[in-house]
Parts: sequence; C-alpha cells; structure tokens
Amino acid sequence: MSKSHPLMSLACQFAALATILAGCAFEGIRRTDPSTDSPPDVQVAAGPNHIVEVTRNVMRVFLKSPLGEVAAAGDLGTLLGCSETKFPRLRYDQQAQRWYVLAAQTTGSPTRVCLAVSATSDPTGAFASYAFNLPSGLVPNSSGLGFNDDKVAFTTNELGFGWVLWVLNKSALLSGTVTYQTFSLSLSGTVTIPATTLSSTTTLFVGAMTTSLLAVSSVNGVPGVGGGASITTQNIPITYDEVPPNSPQKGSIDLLLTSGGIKDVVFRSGSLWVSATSGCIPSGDAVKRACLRVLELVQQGGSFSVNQNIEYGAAGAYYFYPALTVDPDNAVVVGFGASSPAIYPAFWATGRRTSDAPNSLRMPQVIEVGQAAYTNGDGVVDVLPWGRWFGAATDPSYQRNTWVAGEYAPFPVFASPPTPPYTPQYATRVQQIADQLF
Amino acid sequence: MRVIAQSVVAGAVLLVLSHGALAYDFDGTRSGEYLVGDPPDVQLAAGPNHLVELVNSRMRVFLKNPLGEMASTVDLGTLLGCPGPFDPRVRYDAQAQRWYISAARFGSQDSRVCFAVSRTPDPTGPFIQYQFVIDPTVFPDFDTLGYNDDKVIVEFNRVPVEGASPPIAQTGVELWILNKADLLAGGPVRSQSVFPGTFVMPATTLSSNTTLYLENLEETRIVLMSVTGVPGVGGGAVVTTLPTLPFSANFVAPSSPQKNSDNLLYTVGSIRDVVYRNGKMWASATSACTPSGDTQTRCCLRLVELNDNGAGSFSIAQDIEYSQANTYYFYPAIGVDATDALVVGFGASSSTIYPSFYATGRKATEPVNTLHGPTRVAAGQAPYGVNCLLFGMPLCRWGDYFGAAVDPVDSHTIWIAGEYAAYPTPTWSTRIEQVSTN
Repeated sequence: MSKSHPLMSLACQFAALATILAGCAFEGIRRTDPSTDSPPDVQVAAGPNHIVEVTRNVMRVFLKSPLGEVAAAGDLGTLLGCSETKFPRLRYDQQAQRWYVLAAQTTGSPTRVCLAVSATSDPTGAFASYAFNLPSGLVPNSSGLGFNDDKVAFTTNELGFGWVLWVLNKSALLSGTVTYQTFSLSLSGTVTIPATTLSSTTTLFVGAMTTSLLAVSSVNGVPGVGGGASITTQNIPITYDEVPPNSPQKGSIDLLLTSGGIKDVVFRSGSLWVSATSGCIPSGDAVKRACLRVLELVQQGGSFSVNQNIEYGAAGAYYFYPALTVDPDNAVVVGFGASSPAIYPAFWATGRRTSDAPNSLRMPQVIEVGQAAYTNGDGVVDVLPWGRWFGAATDPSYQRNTWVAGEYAPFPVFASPPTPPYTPQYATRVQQIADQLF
Repeated sequence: MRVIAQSVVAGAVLLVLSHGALAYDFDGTRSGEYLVGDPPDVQLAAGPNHLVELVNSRMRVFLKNPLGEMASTVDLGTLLGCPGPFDPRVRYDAQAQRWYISAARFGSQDSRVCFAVSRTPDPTGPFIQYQFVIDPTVFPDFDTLGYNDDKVIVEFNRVPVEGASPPIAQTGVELWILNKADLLAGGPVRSQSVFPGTFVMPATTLSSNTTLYLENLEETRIVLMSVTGVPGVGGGAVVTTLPTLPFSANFVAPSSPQKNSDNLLYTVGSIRDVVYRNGKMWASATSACTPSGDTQTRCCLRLVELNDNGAGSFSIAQDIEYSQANTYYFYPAIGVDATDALVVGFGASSSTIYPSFYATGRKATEPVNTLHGPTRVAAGQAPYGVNCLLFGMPLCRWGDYFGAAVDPVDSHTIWIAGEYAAYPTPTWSTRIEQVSTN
C-alpha cells in the first residue's frame, strides 16, 4: 500500500498511507495579505522544487520540502512589468523547465497582456517579461494559457472584438525573443482556452464550447518558421448550458458570481480533457444549479470524438470552477468550488481513475471548509465576484502527484469592528493529492 | 483525520464517506483579529456537536458538522465577565455535559481568576460566571483547569507584584476547588481555597472517579496530590499529598531558534497537561534534553504515564523523552482515548524550521516508551516576529501551551489545536486537526 516517493515529506507519506488529504496541504494567499485584490482567480503550478500560487497582483513561491514554507513572495506587476495584473494564469513547462505567468492590464493606453518566462526551473530566480499591446479601444477581460513542444499560446477575451489566440514560438521565447502570430477564432464569442500539454506533441490544441458544440482547434507549425503556424478547427456537437446561475451561500443574502465557460484544457497521450462550469438540473432537483462539466475527447484518425461527457452536480448545491489535471494513467483530479444555502463557499475536490466506470467522478471531498459567508455585510443583495477559476497542476517530479489550489470563505479577520459595506475576505489553500486518492 | 496506526489504511474509507463529509482540519483563530492578543495560548475542547477554541482573548465555536464552520465567536472577557482575561483554559466535561472556561485577569485594583460554566452542551448558549477576587498585590498567573465526577479545580499561581503596597498578600500556588453539583445547578457554588505549598496541575479526568488527582513533573521527583470530598459537603474537600516518585528531568528548556530569524521563541519548560483515565495518568511537559545524535541541549517533549495502583499509590508505567537532533519541540498537548492511545499536538522550530504545528502519538498496544515519528499538521511559512524584545533580548512570546481534547461522542477521535507562523510575517495562525486512533 505504500507508494511513497522521494518528494513526499514524512508527513505526506504518513497522510498518504492513512488519510490522504490531511497533512499535505498548506495555507495559500489570503485577501488580508498585502497587495491582494478581489477576486483572486487562483492558479497553481508545480516545479521540481517549488509550488507557485498566483492570484490577482500576487505571486507566492512555496517550497515542496519543507512543504508549504514560503520561499519568495512578490508583486505580479513587478514581475510582469504590467501596471495591473488581472486574470492571472500560471503554468510550469516540464519539457522546457520554465515557468510561464500571464496577466492582463485592463487600464491605461494601450491595454496589454503581459507574459513572464522564468530563466530556469527556479521560480525565485529571474523572469523575462513581455508585453503584448492590444489595439486601441480593446480591453482584455479574461485569459487562457497553454503550451506544447514548440509553442506557448495564450488567449484573451478582448472586449469589443472577441477571443483572440496568440501563438508564440517557444524556442525563440526561451532564448529571449518573441515571434508570434494571432488568430481570430470561429467561436470568438465564447471562452477559448489553449491546452496545457503534458505529453510530447507538435500540435497545440485549443478548446472552446458553446451551447451546441465543442470546437477543438489544432495549431500546427511554428510562428516565424517556414510557413508559420496554421490553425484548423473541428466542431463536435454537444449540449452545454454555458450560463450557470449565481451561487447562493449559507449565512448571507449575497450571491457569488460564478461564471460559466471552459476553465481548463489539458492534453495528454491522446486524450484532451476539458473542464467547465455549466448550468444543469442535478438528479433529484428541479432547479438549475451551477455544475461541473468534464469531457474527455480522444484522438481517432486525426480527429477527436467524445469519450466521456460528465455533468457533475448535486441537488441543492452549486459547483463551480473545476480546475483539472491528468496523470500519466489518465486519472483525473478536479479541484472546484462549492456553495449553497447550506454551505459556506468551500474548496472541494473529486476525480476519477481510468478503471472507474465511464462518465463518472468520485464523491466530492472537502479540501477546505468555508467558515463563514462571503459578504460585504451591507444587508443588500449583492452579486460578489468569486473569481473565474481555480488551479490544478501535475507534479513534474512525480506525475501521479497533483496539486490543486482553490478559494474558500474563512472567518473574516478585522482589526476593529467593520462598518458595512466592508471588503469581503477570501482565503486559498493548496492541497497535494497523491495517487492513492483515486 | 490522521490515523495513528500505520496498519490502518483509511484510503478506501474516504471514498465511501457521504457527500461533503470529509474535512479533517480547518483554520483556527489568526492574529490580527479584533480583541485577539499575542501570543495566543491555544486551547481546544470538543463537545457533542461543537469544537471550542480559545486564544487570548477570544472564543471561537466551530461546528463538527459541517466540520469547521463557524458557529459563533465571542470576546472571552464578555463571556467571563472579566475584562482583559489571559491564560485561557477550556474543558468539556462529557459526564456533566458542560463546558468549563477559566482565565485570569490582573489590574491595579482588580485582579481575579474568572470561571464560567455553560448551562447546556451547547457552547453558543449562555454561560454562568464565577469570579475569584484576588488581592491586587499578587498577579494571578498560569491558571490551569481540571475536573472529575464531583469537583472542578482552578489552579493558579499568586505571583507577587514588585513594589506592591499594601504588603503583599499570600503568594504561591492556590487551588480553587468548586462543588460541581452546585455549578451544574447554576446557583451559588460552595468552594474551598487551598494552598498546596507547591505547584501541581489538576487532571482532566475522563473516567468516573471521585478523587481528583494533581501532578507536577519536577527535576528530581514527580509530585502527586489527591483531592477527595466535596466543598460544603460533610468535611469538605480534603487535599492529600501523595508519595512522590523518583524522577529525573531538566526543565530549563532553551529558547527555540527559528529559520531565517535572529529572534528566538521563548519556549518555557514545565508541565503542560495532565489527563487521568481508567487508572492511568498521563502528563506532558516541555523539557530540555540532548537528542540522540546531537551535542546540544534542545527543547524536547516529556511524556510520563503513571499507573494508579490504588490507595494513593502510583508508579511510572512509561517515561518518554521525545526529541530530534537540532530541533526544538515544545508545548505538548495531550489527549487519551478509551484504549489508552495517546495523541500529542506540539510545536516545532529550529534554525531550519519555521515555527510549526506537529503531532505524534501511540497506541496502547505499541512498545512502551515509544511514539510515532512526528507528523506535520501545519508548516510554518515564515519567521515569527511579534513581541520579540522579551527581557530586553531577541525573544518572542510564542504562548505557553497548545490544546488537545478527546471527542465525547467518538472516544477514538482526539482533536488538537496548535500554532504556527503564517505568511506574511510576523503573523501567527492556528489550525485544528482531527486525529483518529482507530
């Protein structure tokens, strides 16, 4: 039963043997920390020796051993050279041994998307930063970030225009120069996310989903090389409610703004996994709730087909922001948010092993309980943004080990009695989920 | 939930728990909160439906289901009717189904030991307050709290106030013995005040017994006393000094270094907890020792189990010095389950470890004088730096104790609460962890 590995501290071995979830987690960024902003838009990535969490404005580097110690902390704006850092995204590219950090500057002129690339696998070291200016009048309003063997790609939702895919020559980027192409996408009005590619391929996949189809775009070639990059798109019919309701919470009339759309796209060994927040009526329920949608597409003869299509909800409950990653056995771990009139905003997880029944996810596990309502206390019904996504990552040193980071509502800490409306407080937690879990 | 026995594999169990039922640890109180002081002096008790955490000077009540949700938070001074209380203690008496809380207050014209008892098993309900007024020429320090079938004892030190006028009242250790039946009736309480002549800590008594034992671990002996009878009944309570037991220990514990800081933690040596159950009495202390493989004196844990041989005779069953080379362990809080399994929550720090919250334990069936390897409950994330000029030296107050409690519903569950250094420095935070001895 012992599947310990060199990365695990004693505590984590103990927990993995016996309890799995406890002991291999640590406190992440909180709203009460300096320079933070709301909502956090939590992201996490794992390198050989570090775990990195980013939220709006803030990046924090933790050691893997001793797990959870803070190795460095910084301001995302300084790192990225952007005066504002909304919608952050973070990835660790094991093949390149580099960290990629992306965020958007929505104010000033021009607005821009900023990308930083680490010089080495050490996220406490130097980063090179690059700014991508948007045309006058366009404002970035969301983002996605992915990579494969030869490309790094990001997407931006440019208000007034739509989603745009930016494809960068990875080799050039790693050597300190930027060569890129942009693509306007056929489904420019819907969330579009490039894949985090965890197995070797020269095709970079990009996912977007509407109420009636899932569009998988394949980007081949490399900007600045030969004919450059080109894109083809396969539309796969599906049914998807992309408008989940706002999520109620225990203890407050305020609602959480829990947006729909794709949250993560991960490609590994022929499977393309997509996670999204959806609207659904769970079994045993009569009301539409926020639910998780998890799809697995498999490659067959150069095209994709749907292998699994999972709508994951619970009667009376609201699930949102599924952050997904995949291990080498095609086991999936999903960190997500949960809330309801009986549940304070909490951070939960689920997953599946390849041997599980198709189209199934395991029972949800509580990573971190919400302790109080997320509210500004003014007694008026407000819809409070809860961010747009959580984070999940595979550990490059032991790929059956995954990390998830998510947001929950802690009991708020005030230095003196607050006067409503006050700033609601969130906290984040980073959790290791070893392969013994699923 | 952390399982002591490595032979128990709980992984499968996790997967069949009901929807949303799994979270085994959660955030406790954090520094910076309104009316929360430094250091915390963490305490914890468990009732049928709630967990209560005390710090200086706040009470937080958490639900057991959903675990970790906040049920209420109360200023301890208000609850006790005692402004500015310090050294809080809390116990849940499963037999009486009541919560006991004690703390001390010092003022130039108003010194008291304050005590409150709940009216029901619900700690969010009303408490009845009792006050023990003390001559302000003495400082009431390090109150402790114990109980058995028919008595509750609050022990405290009467420390002389330098330069106090009029002349100093009687100093030394005082026992405030309370008639438990009176406490439960909610009316006037018959009590006795006794000066035992030496420090002894009253036991938390977890099995039926009309004798309440008190114990102290000294450097050359174990001091034992018993209290029989009840204040106001017959001849009243009788304090008897029992034969001492030969013992050898060093309680001049060094201050504890911490990673990346010149400030030391002021980690005081001496007894921390006494628990009596089924004819056995465990005591825990911070001690000084030279760990195996080390050449310097460090902070260590000392855990001593006595057998109650009847007629006031005790013998040492186990004597454990728990240490690690180059590491400082302190503030062991203990819980003992119905099978005599022991769980210990404690602090750890060193020049390579930020102040952290660890745990260990043993089952009764395991080899005597052994404890499991340490398990990290919450990693320190940064150095701690508040109140770090104690005695004019770079010493930080880190509190005097952690908390542990047996669950009254599931006697194989023990809860522990402890402190760790959170990021950003110099904050502290507490974490509450469920430990199963099954």
